[in-house]
Amino acid sequence: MEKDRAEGTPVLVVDSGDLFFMTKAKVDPEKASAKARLIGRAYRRMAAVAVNVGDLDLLQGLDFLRKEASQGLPLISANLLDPSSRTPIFDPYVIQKVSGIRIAFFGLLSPNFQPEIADPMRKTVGERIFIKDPVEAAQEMVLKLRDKVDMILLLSDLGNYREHELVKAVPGIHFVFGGPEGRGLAQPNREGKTYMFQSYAKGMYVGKLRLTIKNPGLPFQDEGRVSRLQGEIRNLDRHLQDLQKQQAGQPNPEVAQRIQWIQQQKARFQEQLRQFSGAPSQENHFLWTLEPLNASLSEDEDIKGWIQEAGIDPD
Amino acid sequence: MRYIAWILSVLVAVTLFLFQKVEGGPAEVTLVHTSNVTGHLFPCPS
Repeated sequence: MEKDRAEGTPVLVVDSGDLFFMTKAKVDPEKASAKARLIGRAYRRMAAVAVNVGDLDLLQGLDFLRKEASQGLPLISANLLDPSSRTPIFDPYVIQKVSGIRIAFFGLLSPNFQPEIADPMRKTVGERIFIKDPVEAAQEMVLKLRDKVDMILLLSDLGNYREHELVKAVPGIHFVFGGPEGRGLAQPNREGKTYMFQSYAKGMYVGKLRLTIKNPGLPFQDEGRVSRLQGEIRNLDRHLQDLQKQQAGQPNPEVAQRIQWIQQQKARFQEQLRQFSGAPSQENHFLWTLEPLNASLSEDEDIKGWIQEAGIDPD
Repeated sequence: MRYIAWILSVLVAVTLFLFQKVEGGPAEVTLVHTSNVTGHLFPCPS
């Protein structure tokens, strides 16, 4: 991140929810709060631009989140409402203008809590929240934002299935960052013109989306598709060589058929590759990668110091 | 003399503006995404 920023590329840090707390029953609440405060501080230090409120983030009540927001953590949710006024408890969206492009982020959480957190949630937030239907909230957001910005991004704590359904019902969202299931996607899911990403869980990976924007009004192309097609062609070539050797030693009509099928498959991929990497496209591009956070990366000395001061041990 | 300096500064500003428009190229933005960190200050081994 620091390297990209030093090279002059704007870097926007976002979180799609469930940042602070876990569901384990035997967690010391004081220790969990101390860690959550440090995480909030670290995200402020990274200059995060949007942090969506997930259902697990409500486990220690609204006061903790309100305090974090008052200290500058950009918590957002478009469907977490005050039950009496039916107005958002946190900002429903944020808009960032980078390199002349206006990008809006809005956040959503699911109205159906996981069974294991339903009880603790009743104790901590009880009747103090109302969760609006995510599709309705998304429709309102897109209507409100589409004339104000060039791109609309959703930070979602809804889950993969609901995200697909939502994107089908609400066109106009460019990208969805999700992942309450804790899975990672090496290649994005696509629904219409919307691409959806997930970046695993527990800080194992971060997802990195590099956008090259020529005209924000046009669709985006997935740059990673080229390397995936090249990989497919390499795999087919290896398989083809094996089968051809086999066929040279002992001819077999079934193997001959398989060779023919693989050659057709390879020709199809080559044609796709030719179309994709032919004339320079006027469209926008993106490249999605999952970056593992491992010991080879250097630690931020300040944050390391904060953790030591707080006396928090590794998980 | 003051007018010459003013004209020159306007010319430089206009040139820089035009140069930026012509040579600007596509915008580059990187988004870094995390999810489900669930209170983990230290990443789990990936």
